[in-house]
Amino acid sequence: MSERWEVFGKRTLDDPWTSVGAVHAPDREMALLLAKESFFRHGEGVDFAVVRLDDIHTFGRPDLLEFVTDKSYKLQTGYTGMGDKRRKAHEIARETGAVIDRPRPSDKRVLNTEHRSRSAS
Amino acid sequence: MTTTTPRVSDAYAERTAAFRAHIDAGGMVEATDWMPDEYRESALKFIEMHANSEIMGALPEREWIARAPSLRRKMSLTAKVQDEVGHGHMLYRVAEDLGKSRDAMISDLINGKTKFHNVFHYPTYTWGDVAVIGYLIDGAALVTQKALLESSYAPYVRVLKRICAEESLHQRHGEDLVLELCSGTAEQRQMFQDAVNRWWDPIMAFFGTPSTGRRDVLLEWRLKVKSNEELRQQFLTMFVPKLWDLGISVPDEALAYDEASGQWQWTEPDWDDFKRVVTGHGPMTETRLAWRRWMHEAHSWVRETLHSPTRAAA
Amino acid sequence: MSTGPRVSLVLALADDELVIGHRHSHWTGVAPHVEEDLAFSSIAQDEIGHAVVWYGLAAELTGKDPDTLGLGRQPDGYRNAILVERPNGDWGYTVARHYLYDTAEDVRLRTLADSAWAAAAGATGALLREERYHLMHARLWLDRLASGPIEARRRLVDGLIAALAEAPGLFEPLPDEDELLADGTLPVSHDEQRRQWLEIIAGDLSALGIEHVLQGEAHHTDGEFVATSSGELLSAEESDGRSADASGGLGGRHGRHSDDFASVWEEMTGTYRAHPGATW
Repeated sequence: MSERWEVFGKRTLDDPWTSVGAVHAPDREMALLLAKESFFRHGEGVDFAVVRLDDIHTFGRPDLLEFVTDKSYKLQTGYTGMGDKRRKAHEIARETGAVIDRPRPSDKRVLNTEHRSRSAS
Repeated sequence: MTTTTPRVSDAYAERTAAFRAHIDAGGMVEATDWMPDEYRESALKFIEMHANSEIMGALPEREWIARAPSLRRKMSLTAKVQDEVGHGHMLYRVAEDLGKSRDAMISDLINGKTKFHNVFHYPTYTWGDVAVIGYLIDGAALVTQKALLESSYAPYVRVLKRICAEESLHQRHGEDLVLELCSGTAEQRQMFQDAVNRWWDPIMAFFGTPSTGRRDVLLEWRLKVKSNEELRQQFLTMFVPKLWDLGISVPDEALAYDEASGQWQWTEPDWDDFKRVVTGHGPMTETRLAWRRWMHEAHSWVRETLHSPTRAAA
Repeated sequence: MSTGPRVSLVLALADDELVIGHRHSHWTGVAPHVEEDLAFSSIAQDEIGHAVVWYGLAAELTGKDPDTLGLGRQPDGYRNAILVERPNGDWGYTVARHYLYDTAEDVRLRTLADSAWAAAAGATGALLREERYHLMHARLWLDRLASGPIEARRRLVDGLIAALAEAPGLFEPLPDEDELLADGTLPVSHDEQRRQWLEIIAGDLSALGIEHVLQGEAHHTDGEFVATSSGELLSAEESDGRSADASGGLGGRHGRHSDDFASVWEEMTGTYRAHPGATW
């Protein structure tokens, strides 16, 4: 039987490889030749790659990939109750007169995008 | 042995029950998951028949590529038939992972051991038939395929998304063919009407019997989610008014929409005849399969070439 | 300048593309390998699309639309070469003819890219781009069959010998060749194009160790098709192109076709001609 080659495509050059299907072909060159019209004849992408199915090795152990003991500290959702803590801390600062009331930018956005435009030049 | 067997079958029954619960809760199944034998066999048979139908469906239509009445239609019909072959290609790939090689599936198909949809056992006579196939038969296929997007077998669903997108284009192409005929000469309109008259019964039968009273394994495992009758009703709602608006009649005097029940009444086809057709006794079955067998034999040297390692292999 | 010669040029190109596209499209649904069915079908669609481009240029000169030109002429009005009207035969002949045809098309298009007729020169760019895949495909299959099992190599060789016998017809001088050369519509004569093509295919065939097909005599293969006699390849330029028996695959550019064209014409144009004036 012809070998099977898994085919991966990219819609645009910036996209990662996505599995689109497989072809039966005797070798790499035939796999590339045939994959074009199997999966890209409607303008589906700008590039594609083929890999022998036998060269794709799956881990196959979903039981080892799921969280078992509490790992919520690794997730955004693992951090709750911060609004209450912030309110309490602000209240204490106000009550103790510790708040520092000095001029500050009116734009409260945390991310400073200025560095991006500098690095792009 | 008597002590181990009950334990083995208990374990199997337990896993099957858990699997069934997973399916009933709307869970999906992947190729590498454990499956009860009945699920695997049913899924394979169903998807294999779908793949077979795409491959056999190419045969009646491709006859008209050579005879297409315009250069643009020559290209568009070629592209459409190409897509059907492509669907067969993708579906065989999904079926392979359930445990049967593509070579074995193609061999069983051409040797009459496995089935394909009834509509592809019939001859074509005119360009009107091409329009009917493109509009009504692809329309029927689209109705069933869209419903199958809810199937429990995930690899099938993924491939169906692409198939449905391509079938939508085919359907649009089919509608374009129909509208061209119906807005054309009297001869062209009649050509389409004649074709509808010829194909109506097979199209109604395509959806299968309303109910067998027997256990529907495919519905039970959520490989299918809609019943045959639900899909047929959907098809009738989508297409009959459109045909009527074009002044095209349907050759079933009993066909009528009953507002009270919200159902179309229709005359059931001869189900014995349907069974004869799908078990390999349709008007064109043996001719087409014999031709495919001949081609398959004639091409064994090409397969041999494709299966041998080459000096370029790396 | 007269538009007559330019019409004969584009009709020859268009008719070649249409008829080979017609023959190639026959494999859709029944090719030897599922993925190859898809690939070869795209090539067939491309060739018909190329025909439409050339018929478009002919339409500007004749006032007749592409469908009228492509599907509405009588058999002796068609200007395709004999090679393209032959049946597909087996996969060996199909691959051989595909290779010879597309290498020839590449030479013809690159030649026309320098045409003094701007519209023709402009049309070649897009077609040459599609041809790149056709050539990649043809050369890969040539290689796989030539280096494959014995039967594959034998069938390819038989196919090449049969197709080579008639391939010179692709470069048969046009009836108005002199005028086309004189005004630069045709930058290079067909004789010279054929020489360029022979050099290219001699190189490819040598690399595969099958250059002997260029001197080969054709013979029957299981009665699947009967090839015309060969061995006259290099003297094609000497024949007067007016012989009735289409030896060397000649005659097509003058509307003289083989017996195989009758069935091509019948099935390809039948539906169109049965309904004059209808749109589809």
